[in-house]
Amino acid sequence: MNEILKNIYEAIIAGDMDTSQAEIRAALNAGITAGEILNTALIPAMGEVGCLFEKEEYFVPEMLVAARAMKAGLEILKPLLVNSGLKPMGKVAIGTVEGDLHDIGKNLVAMMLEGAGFEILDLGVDVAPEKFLEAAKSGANIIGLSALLTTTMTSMETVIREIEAAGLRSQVRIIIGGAPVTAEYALRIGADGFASDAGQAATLATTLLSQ
Amino acid sequence: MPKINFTEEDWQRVERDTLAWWAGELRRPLVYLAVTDPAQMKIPEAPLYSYWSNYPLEMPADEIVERFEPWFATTKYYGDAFPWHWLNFGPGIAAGFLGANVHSVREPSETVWFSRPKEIQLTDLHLAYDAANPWWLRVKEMTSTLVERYGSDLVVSHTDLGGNLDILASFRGTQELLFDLVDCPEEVDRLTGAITELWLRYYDEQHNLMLSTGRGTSSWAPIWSQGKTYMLQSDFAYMISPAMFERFVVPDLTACCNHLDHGFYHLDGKGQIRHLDLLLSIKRLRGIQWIPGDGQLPPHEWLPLLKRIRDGGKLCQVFVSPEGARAIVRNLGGRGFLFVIQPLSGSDFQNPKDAEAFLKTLAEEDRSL
Repeated sequence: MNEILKNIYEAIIAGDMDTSQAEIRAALNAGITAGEILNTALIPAMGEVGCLFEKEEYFVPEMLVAARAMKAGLEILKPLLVNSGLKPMGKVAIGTVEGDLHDIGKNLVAMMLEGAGFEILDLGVDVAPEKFLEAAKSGANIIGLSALLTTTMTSMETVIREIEAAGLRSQVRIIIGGAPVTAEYALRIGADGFASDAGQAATLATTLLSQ
Repeated sequence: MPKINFTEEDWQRVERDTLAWWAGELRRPLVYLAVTDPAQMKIPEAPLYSYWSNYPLEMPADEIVERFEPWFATTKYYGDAFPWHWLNFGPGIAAGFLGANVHSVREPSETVWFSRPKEIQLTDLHLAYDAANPWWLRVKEMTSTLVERYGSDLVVSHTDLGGNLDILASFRGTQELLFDLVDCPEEVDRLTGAITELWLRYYDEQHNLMLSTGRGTSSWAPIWSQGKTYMLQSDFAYMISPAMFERFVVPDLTACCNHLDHGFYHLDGKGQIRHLDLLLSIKRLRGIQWIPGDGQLPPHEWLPLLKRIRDGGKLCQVFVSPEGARAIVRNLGGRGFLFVIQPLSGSDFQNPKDAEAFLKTLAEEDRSL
């Protein structure tokens, strides 16, 4: 890997926002394209952060600062990526289901997905099923549902049934996650996949859209 | 004085055995089995809220306490259970005492949550005791009312003051505090240190209101102590590394344990297991409560973890089904455990003979005996 790209990669893993921005500017000045910076440094760095989280070498604070460094870098790259015609991997509408106010898990997943090259529509917390339906209608490729409580996870099924009733089920992939959620539950309610952490969610989304 | 089905002899028995349990001298587990008879209980005109914060602040304290009388009067106590009531004002009401917004939610299910009163830089955040805070006044009023009405017949437990980072998160926002731990750890140290001091003050002031009962203290789990006990916690710890736990949480836990006679820790969810070694190293921490968390297997399915807690020299409290308690005594022995039995349905153990038979079976199957 080119030295500057390596510096960007390492700065993101270290959560060093200032260095990541400075090195991205240096890379652009050196003639490296925005697309190459994204695909060779930013996305692999966030992939590595996901691996470190899975291995319990990183925890939520370390993951958050890495995502912040990635986001700061992306702010510089975004206009250039749009001009170059490079398209996002897909559009993900994500939210914590109705009745549930927890947002950290959902935010982490959104950041990891963004780091993996997806466009994110963050619907927030306590999101009514109609909002997810609206997102599906407006062209989201993936709907991400988060819940931290057994009492609220049942809303995930409601969302899926509403999307089915609207005749949109074949157009969107639905992924779910959260502390009480399991792969078996995903299967039972008819979701397309389950991720046990934010890193896995990014891998799952990428896999689902490549199928 | 309202009726409670518990005699002075019962108190003496429970106090004697619990003291032996704390001292590690009780060969059997403590078993807390309290059963309220729904058929005998008068249905109050208004609901009994789990969270006392869900009653309007202007509602007279006596009126609220009266609503609970049928509950106390129809509860039967088996094993090592004793009359106990937790003044639940939500998880981390100390944030409310310090000025955070308290949000009471009654529908569709009850909860209480806290939010920051305003956005503020970490360096500008200073937390101070406010004797006139309405939530603090309300907790003291409710404590005094219960103590006056029930005297030595009831153990009124401390309210859930909260963990140091949980309280701080109510002022910063969870995500902001997660960034703070990395960006400005010294400021977090300053604030957590201040919270520990405030926490101890709130603990002691509520404790002083209970002294006249002569029945010691308890926590949000029915653990009795003749001195000072409390279920310490840090829900925030689920998200952080052992290194951060050691820096930001352990000093607070150590200070609290040094202040308490019988400090317990609420180990909540598998994400906190990574902190167990640090917890076991806190000398004055007397016990650990294991809660597997929503959607996880019940406590008796975590035998290696329970063994690790007990082998680490700590007592262990779990909320278990009757079958769960039996599985633990069969596999690990019951010594050092406190089983708070959660009947599978409201009709379980309505007949005292069923409760006695269960306790007998538990003793027969106990490897410790």
